[in-house]
Amino acid sequence: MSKPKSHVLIVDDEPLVLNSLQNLLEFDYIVHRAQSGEEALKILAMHPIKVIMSDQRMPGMMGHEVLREAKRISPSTIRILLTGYSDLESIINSVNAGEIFRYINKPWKSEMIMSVFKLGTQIYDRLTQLAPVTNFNALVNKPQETPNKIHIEVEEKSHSVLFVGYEDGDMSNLLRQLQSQYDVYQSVSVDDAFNKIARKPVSVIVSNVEFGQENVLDFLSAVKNEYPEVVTVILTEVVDANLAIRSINELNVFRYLVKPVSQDEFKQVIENAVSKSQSYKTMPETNLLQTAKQLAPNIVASPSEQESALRLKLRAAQSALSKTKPRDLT
Amino acid sequence: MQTISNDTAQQPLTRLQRYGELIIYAVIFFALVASAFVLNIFLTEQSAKDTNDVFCATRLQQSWRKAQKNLTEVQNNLMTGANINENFNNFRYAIENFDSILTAFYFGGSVVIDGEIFTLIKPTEARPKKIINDLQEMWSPIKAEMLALSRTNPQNSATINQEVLAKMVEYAVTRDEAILDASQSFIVTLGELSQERVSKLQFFQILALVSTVVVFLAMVVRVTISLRKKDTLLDSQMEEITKQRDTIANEKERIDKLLKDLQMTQTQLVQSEKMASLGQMVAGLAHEVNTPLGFVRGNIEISQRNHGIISSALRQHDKLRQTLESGEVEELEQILLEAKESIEKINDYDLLSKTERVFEESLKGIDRLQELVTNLKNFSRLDEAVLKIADINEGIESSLLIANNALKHKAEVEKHFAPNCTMECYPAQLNQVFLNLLTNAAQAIEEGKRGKICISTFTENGYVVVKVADNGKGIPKEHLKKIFEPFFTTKPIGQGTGLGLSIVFKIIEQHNGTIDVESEAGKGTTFTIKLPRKQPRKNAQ
Repeated sequence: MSKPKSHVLIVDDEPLVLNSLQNLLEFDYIVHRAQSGEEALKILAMHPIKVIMSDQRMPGMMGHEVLREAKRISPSTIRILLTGYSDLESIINSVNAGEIFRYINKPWKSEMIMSVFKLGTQIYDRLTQLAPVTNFNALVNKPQETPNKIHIEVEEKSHSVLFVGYEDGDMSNLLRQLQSQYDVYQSVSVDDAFNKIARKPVSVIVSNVEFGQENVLDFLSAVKNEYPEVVTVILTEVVDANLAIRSINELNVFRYLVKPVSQDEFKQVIENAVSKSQSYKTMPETNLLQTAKQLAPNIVASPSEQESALRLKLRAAQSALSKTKPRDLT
Repeated sequence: MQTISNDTAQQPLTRLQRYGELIIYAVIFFALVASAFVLNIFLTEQSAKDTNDVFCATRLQQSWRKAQKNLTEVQNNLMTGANINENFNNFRYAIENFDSILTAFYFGGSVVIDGEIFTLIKPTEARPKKIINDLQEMWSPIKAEMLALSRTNPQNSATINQEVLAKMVEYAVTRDEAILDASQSFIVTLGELSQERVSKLQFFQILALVSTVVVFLAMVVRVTISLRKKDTLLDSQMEEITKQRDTIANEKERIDKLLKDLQMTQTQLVQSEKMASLGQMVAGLAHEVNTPLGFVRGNIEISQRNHGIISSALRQHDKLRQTLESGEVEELEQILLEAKESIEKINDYDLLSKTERVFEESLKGIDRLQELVTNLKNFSRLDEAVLKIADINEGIESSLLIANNALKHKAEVEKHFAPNCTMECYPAQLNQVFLNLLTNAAQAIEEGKRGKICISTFTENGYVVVKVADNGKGIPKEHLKKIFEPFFTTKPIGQGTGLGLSIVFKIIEQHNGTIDVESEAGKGTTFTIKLPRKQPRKNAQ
């Protein structure tokens, strides 16, 4: 009661949706509402908005565009997309351009909205504890500075990128391009991938969605659980909207790329992913998934049976390695 | 193809050759048969003549012998005084015969023997001619005296010149042997000559027959060869024909398969176009449905929450009343504080009137859903697969509602509807037309621009006219002719099948209507549809 209410922003071209959401949220938050993207961005610049939730299909600016701009204006604001129809294009746009925290389908559940907003505001608070709100602008500028710094580091100590689940020769062109800058590994199976990760921590995993019998999301979850600073990129030919949504909500996937991708574009993605991984190490709070897990372990999807099994496998790989390692060294 | 044309070029020549040869063979064959026949006739004639000759020659000999014998008898009888009549008469007859036959042989001509006429010709060969000449030589010196003697009357023996008679008898006796020999050799010669001629003719006849047979055989062989040639030619032609027939059959099969494939592909394309527009429609509809569904659901949960707050306030109010009634006032302050808190929340957030509004808005949402479903039903009109009278304006309205999602972000829609645009039609199909035209119009408006789509309807001489105009980017002139062709599309591969407008065209055609398009690049496009209000009765017979 005594704690001041947080500011949140909801964007939808349908006023009745805004009414409903406002009624839901107004007990706990100061609710700002906007019926268009332009309006939303104005409000965002005026108030310390902790969470922004936007509809995808709107006249003028689309939801993912609003969120992309929001990220630029206020990088710490947690971005959520609310959509009435999940077409793959909008999902992929929202990940790759908006770097959204959650993807929510209409019709929504009040409970879900409440918990996501609660989590969102908490993460925002964590993020901004590093940089007080007065240093708001400094935080805004940060992402532009960091890549340069990291770029130097890249040259000093090589970062490793692991490709999982691609056929030999499938990716040879992309791999060759990256080899000059990064340690590039390739694994066809999950077991092999675990061994490689256990041997040397990787910064970025580029994964296919279909290989072997394992569920790729379980695999990536298991890895992220043990190595939170790993940044995941999905590169696939498979267009599956559900998988894409889950990779956002459960994995906070960094990029979801659908082949074909240009070499330059891909190189840029890897570069960004490496710097992201670097910032996870230096500022763990920026790792939204990890923060969310710490803040609300109950609402982040609990590991599936298969994922648990995979985690055990990964741990086994680690322990096997730790036993042999001293011998290797001596 | 080449071989066939070569064959046709060769055929007339070979035909002519073949028939020419056959004709030559036939002519030779018939000539030979005819010559054999002619020879045969000639032979028969010749042998008849020869027989005559031999007969006459024999008679010549006999006549001489008879004449000589009777003449001798006449002399004897004259001496003995016996009757000479019979012998003399015999003599006369015989010697006349002899003379006439010899004359006929010598000069050629006819002779009557025993009442029968024989025509003789002068022998041409040397031997019989010489014999005849010899005979004539022997006969001619005595001929006149002998004949004169023979013409004397035997009744009067005195008239018979004894001297002449003696001379004649002497002559006859002396010459008897020579004449008999000569006539004998004449007969033999004639027979021999006849024999010679017959064998010669027979030889020719046989030769002709043999040649005939040879020619016939040659003809047979030739015909057989040519027939066999023809047979082999026919066989090879037959083979060729069979081969060609097989090829044609194969080709037909292939074409049938291709046609079937094509039909299947077409069906698939039409299907995929339908699916594509269905996909678009579903995306729009899902959004249209999920938005009211979303806030109605949210509202119900809010009502639930509000209901909880209000009922707890009521409970506290109740408790407060009971406490006041019972007079246990020591707890009163605490209860009052709680009740105040509840009421405060209700008042602060104006929960009562808000809840009322929540209900209103939820009902609005549900109405919207209901309207959507009704329009969907109107749009598809699955229960109306038959020709029926419908108002075009209604069809356009429901198409607009379906296309709303695609349109509202891109353009303002302006409507100019004339009243009573009813007509006989298949409403679901026409709705498809309007939807296609509207989505095309929306797509024509460039990204990020706010366009305008104008739909107008009016009636004109038994026709309903619908115009759909946009102010989009327009259609280039070179594309205008092609836009109604199936598979023509300017969209990238995978985004359009190029069937949308061809389906429109087909449906308009089915309604016996016309569709025209006017377009100017950069200014927009107008589609004008003209549909007859009454459809001709197809099955009225």
